[in-house]
Amino acid sequence: MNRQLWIWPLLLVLLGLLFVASLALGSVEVGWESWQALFAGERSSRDSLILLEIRLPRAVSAMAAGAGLGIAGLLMQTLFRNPLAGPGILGITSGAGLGVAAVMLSGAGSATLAALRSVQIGEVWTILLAAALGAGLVMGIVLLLSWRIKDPVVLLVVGVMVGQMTMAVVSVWQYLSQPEEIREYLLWSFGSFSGVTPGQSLILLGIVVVTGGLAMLGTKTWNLLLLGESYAQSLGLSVNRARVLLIATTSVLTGAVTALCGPIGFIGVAVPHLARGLTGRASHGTLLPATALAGAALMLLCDLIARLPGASGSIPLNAVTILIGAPVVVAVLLNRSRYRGMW
Amino acid sequence: MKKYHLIFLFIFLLFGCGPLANSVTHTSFSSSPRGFSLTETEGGWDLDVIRFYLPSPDTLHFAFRRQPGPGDIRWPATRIVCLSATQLGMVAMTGKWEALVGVENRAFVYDSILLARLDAGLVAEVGASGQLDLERLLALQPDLVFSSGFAGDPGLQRLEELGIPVIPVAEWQESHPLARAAWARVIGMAMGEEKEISEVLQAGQQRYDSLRKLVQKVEVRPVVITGSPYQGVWSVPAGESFLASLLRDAGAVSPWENSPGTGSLNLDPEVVFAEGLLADVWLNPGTAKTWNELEQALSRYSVFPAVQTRQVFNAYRLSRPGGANAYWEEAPAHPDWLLEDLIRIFHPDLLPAGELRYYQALQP
Repeated sequence: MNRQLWIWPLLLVLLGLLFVASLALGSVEVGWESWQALFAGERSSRDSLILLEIRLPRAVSAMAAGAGLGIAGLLMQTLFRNPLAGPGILGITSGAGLGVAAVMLSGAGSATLAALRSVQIGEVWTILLAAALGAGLVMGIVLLLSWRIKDPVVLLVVGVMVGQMTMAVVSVWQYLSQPEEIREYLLWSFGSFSGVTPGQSLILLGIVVVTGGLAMLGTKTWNLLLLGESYAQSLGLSVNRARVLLIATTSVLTGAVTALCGPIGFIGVAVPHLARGLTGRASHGTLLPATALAGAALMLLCDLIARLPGASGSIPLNAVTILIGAPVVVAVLLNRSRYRGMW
Repeated sequence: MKKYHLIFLFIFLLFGCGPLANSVTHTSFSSSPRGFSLTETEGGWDLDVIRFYLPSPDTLHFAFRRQPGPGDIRWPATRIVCLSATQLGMVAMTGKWEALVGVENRAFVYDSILLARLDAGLVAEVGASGQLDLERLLALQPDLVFSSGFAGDPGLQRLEELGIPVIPVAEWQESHPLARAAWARVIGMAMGEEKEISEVLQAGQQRYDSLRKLVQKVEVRPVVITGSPYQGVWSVPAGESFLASLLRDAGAVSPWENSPGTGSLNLDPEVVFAEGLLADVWLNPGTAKTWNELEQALSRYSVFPAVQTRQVFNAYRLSRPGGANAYWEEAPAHPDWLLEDLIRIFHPDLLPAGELRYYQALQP
């Protein structure tokens, strides 16, 4: 039976339910009347402000971040032909963090970050660009190493090393910075959707939709890459051009999410596997949209758990994503034989 | 989460951290605050908060008005949120608890009236900086929020964008305990009690000055070290910090009293160890409450003369198990009480017999 037919409505309904739950649940109770008032055009009441200014941007940025990291993870797994590749694991998130640190800890720190938090579009792009460049830098290094290291598990270890080295550079940088700037960086590194402004959440959504859409245009190319370098070349594919495109796409996605929401672990590596399990396909034409939807839904769920509706205070978002994502990685390692085509 | 709190409580709230200035040559600091100025105007007050401690200093202006226009803050404010224990002690001075609608965390509240109000649901917990519950804060509809003055909290930025004024109270950056206490005027002013608070502060200042004069005559000044190592760093008060001024006024010598900076110096524990071998008194040795705990936590420091002569004091006398402590909450607004404690420790014969209020020697 074709699993694809029922998978799409299922994912869409699940995403819709989680989105509504994310808007409806919080530490403050918002009654049905407030929803009605909101739809009737009430914009300045307490509850309307909570819904529009706090919960909506958080839900939108969580969805965008989940979809973006999922797509980035999927493309990286294709690029490295390694089912354990992902932005967090191979140090790409740390690279984006290096870019953010470069902006936040570079002396002009406070001013720049204050600008980031406001909706001044031009300033937001600075930090987004820095994060994407940092991500691209680390990704380029790992990719160069991947030409020499054929064993995917060894490559993974090397990726972890590069990520750790990037983090160490940031640590030294922190040590040399003003306490005020370190604190800003620390708060950022916890990972959260609550500081994202409505404007920024739309920027993030836009980046993910556009980049994801562009990635959809290349699904045939990505499918060829899965067959292996020499085979793809023999079919007339310019492998290097495809590689550069993949690096650029994943760097922009990881950079944008990391810059605005902080480093979020394990979603990127886990979600493509969930999508593979759900669809039973390896073709990017199916996997890419399924990964985007599943990533968006999973991230909403993680954020809901992190916020524990009703309680004040929250669990760090990263703790939740790791608890959910890490078991998926372990499961993949246990079932290595199933991914033989990718190694 | 707990650990995170402890880091900030111990490293920042006590000593603060600030940019380095030029070397310090003077030995006493102005008791007037550097961080704010208050001006009474028709129908209200103007408040300027000067963030001299930022890498690029700036001034924030707040207008408190009886008839608030756009951008003004209602005066007197009747719905206030305080995000630091120090501010709670200043609210306590006004006695107007009904105007306080939100605090950071119940675990850090010492005042029994405020605890009762929290339990009765009259005051909400809104979470620590970095983990603020924005929804709950917004639902409280506060006139203003007093933050602890750390820059760059995205949650506070969001609040400001939503039209809730956030006033940074960086009392911990002041160079003198009296200047630090003067911040109570800001909180008193916001609640319409500036005159009353100023009188209380003045009485405290006079008492502080007479205690200080008493000490000026002493000839032997004990050497004192403070704090304990945390993750490879031992923070000590920089020469221009309020704690350095307090130690100076209490007739003690700190090894770092001539170093620059308003906050703390983060030193290699080895450096402090060398000085500890020469120190007569050791204050605030981490979380240890008994000699046994100190021995277990910091065994290598038992060679300190202060440990041998049992001259080690912590500030847990008025504290609760969850972390609440009058030392954080009440003492900042009453520097004379704190000074009296320290004089009793450093110069036991100078004052008539009496008890310590915040400090106590480690228990057997």
